[in-house]
Amino acid sequence: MKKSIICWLGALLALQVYTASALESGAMAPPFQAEGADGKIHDLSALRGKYVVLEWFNKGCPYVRKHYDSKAMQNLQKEYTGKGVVWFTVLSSSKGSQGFATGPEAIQEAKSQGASASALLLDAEGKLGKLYGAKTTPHLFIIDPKGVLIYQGAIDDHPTSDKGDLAGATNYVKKTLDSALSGKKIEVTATKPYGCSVKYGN
Amino acid sequence: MAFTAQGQGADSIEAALPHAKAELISEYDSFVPSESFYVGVRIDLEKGWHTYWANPGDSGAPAKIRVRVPEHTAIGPILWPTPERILTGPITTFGYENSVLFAWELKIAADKLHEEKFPIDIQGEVLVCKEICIPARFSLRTHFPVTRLIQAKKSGNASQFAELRKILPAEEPGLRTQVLRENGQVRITLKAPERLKRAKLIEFFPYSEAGIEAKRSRITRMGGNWVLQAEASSVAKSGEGLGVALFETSQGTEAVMLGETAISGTERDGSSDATNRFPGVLGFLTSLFFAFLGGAMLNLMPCVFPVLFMKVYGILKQGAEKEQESRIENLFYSAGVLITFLLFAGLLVLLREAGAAVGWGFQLQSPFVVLALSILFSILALGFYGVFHFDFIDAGIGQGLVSKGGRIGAFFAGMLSVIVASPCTAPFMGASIGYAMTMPLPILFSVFLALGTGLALPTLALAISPSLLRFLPKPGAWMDVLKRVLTLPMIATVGWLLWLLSRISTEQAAVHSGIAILIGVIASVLIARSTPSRNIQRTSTALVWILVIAWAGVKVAVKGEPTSNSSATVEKSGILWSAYSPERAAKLRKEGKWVFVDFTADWCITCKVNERVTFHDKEVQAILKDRGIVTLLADWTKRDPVITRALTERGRIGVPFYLLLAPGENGAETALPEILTPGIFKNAIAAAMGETKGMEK
Repeated sequence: MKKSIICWLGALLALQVYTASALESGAMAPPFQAEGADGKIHDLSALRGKYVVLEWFNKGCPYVRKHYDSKAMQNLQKEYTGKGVVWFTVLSSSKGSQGFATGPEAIQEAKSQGASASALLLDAEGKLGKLYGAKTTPHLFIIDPKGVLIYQGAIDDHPTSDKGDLAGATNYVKKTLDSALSGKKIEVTATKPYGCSVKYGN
Repeated sequence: MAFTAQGQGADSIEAALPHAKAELISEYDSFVPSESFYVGVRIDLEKGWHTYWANPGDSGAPAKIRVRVPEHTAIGPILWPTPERILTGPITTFGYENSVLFAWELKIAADKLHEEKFPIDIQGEVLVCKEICIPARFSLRTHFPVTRLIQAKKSGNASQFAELRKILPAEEPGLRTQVLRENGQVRITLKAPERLKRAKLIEFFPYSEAGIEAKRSRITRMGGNWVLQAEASSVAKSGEGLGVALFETSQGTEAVMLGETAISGTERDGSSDATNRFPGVLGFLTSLFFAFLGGAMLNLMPCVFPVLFMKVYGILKQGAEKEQESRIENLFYSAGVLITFLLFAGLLVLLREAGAAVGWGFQLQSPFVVLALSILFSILALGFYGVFHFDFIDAGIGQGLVSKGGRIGAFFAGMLSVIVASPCTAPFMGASIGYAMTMPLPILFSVFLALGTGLALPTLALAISPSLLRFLPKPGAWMDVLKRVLTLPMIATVGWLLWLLSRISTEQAAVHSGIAILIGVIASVLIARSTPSRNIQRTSTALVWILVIAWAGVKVAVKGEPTSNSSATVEKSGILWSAYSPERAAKLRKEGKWVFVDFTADWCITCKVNERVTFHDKEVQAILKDRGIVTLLADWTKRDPVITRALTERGRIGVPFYLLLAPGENGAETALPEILTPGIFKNAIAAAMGETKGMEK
């Protein structure tokens, strides 16, 4: 009798399975393998033990420009890759869309920007972007060493394209990584991203 | 003297933007102190370009416009016209194409203004997007003449403001909303006022603060209400506003602002507690799959297994030489199953459309249905024991029944297995079927079909591939033994149904029904033994059962009218429960109490398992006590319109259902998972109570 109850409970639990859509902070980040501009395949599961940042990028987007022209983004990349964080800059513009770049073009762009990302991920088919539900450039995701998504959303709390707004803004990437690296509780785990739309094409 | 805005030379009322133009316009050419008037900024966009609403959606940015006016002027908030949904691949944004007018209401204090001219200074930034986005800043300024005339003169732009007022979202005090947030979904039930009763809800634009994804929400109509089902965004809600709903009326579209009257606290923080993984809402394909699986498993339930066994038993007896015929019969059986399920679904839909809030399991709320089922099971048990001979049970045992009669018999056996399955589907699958009931018709019917396909699976498999028979044990004497043994689950089912009858009717009615059935059984056995004549057996047995039905039926009819649930406090699972009523819940919440409501029914096995596993748990009882949560019991064993309404308002047509209600009239409503364990319960309570407390700070 007990066994059959457990059986039924199991079956009923199975009934509750649901196909998830929006990512949830605190849950496991979906695994991915993506091609880098350097031709290498980057596998998230191989990066257990490290913090991983995903940053959606589009060179022509004024919101991205705000953080690159001011060198704010490059400084963040430099600071945290220096602390062992793996930083992926992701390009999800579809072929023919604004912001699309081939591997060499992307590398050239990153170089001219003085970017310090660990790698540039080419996602012209939008698979990685749709897997994570990346909507804007910039849109940031942070994954902890256990593979758990600990932050998703905007880069900071001033949703404008004006460089002048960088001063006084709370940078969520900095805040999340600083808290995580020093073992503190992460207060904000999700914010609404702001910026241009990711150019997935139709 | 009539001034026009354009007449103010030094000021600029127009600005060229990339792919757009901004213009400052006013409803009147001159302003009258103490009268309210409108000014606005019109953005004209080149074809294909757009700019954004207050909630831009997945990307983009809302227009940011600052209006500076003299101090003694009251200025209202920016008036956002209802936007359009703009789709770009998977990205959804809300905005405006072609042209949009952002407006403000101004009022100059009557005694304060001595100047002849009223200055307005506007600094704005809009994001102009096509494929790419260009932030465009502009500044506009002008002076309007102030007049002491009673009536100011309308400007040439006045009609644009009249148009704007027509399309601005308005508050609709008669509209009631109820919001249920659970497991990544937001369900908004709208009770339209009389005025909008015949209007059709066509679109919903969530506010940024609502914590709702921009993606198009599913709109369904249920029991006279509109139900919006949307996806919760990963960012928690941060305000009371919900969004703008668009109704289609005979006079065109009408935009209505929605706010929350009930909020849930199931929003999650960073921790991944167990509740996250047990959403109550199934995806379409998942629900099909599990309906199929559930249907297949029904074959093993005490109610159905004997019938299935007899079907297979008949096939085995027929042997290989009649393979073709058994194949056809199996198809007839499967057809019987599927058609009956569709008939059931159709009946439910008809009842639902007729306005009756019926749920799955409702059949077990009727004492007559329960009585009929217990008599049916008793007669079947007699058949299994060998007292009676039924074609479908004993098919293949001779008498030339295998023929056309066999096919029709197989079809009815299929129907019968659905009917005998119904007391089992309700306790185990009520919640999932209840969910399917809230879905559009194609989904509802698909779910029922999947359920039927699952139930017909064994015979369907044999029909498609008769060689599967080889895997079954060889026919032999054991089959007759097993056939008799199977009487036991049938008798157990009768016992359960009679117990149920005692709950939904009266104990007396149940006892009388039991005695009547017992006498019927004994009489049937005696008749079968006393005479070898089939005809006499049949007639007299039929007579006996007619008497049984009449006796029990009269007892149930006289004593068994479902009475409304008592308001007394009951102790169950070591917890004191008061009977649920919306008024009682509201009163308790007003007094500042947390309330937990258990929607349950005696025929619901899942509910019983939850009670056993969770509510009996000492720690769970301690949590309820320590946190001062008042426990209310909504017992749906009998038909109860109040409870049915409480369920349907929250998008449920089935039990179990667990609700945690926060204090206060507009407190949060949290739905707990349908499957409870002490761990899930503790986490859910902690999450809901913890979070709402955090919000109060």
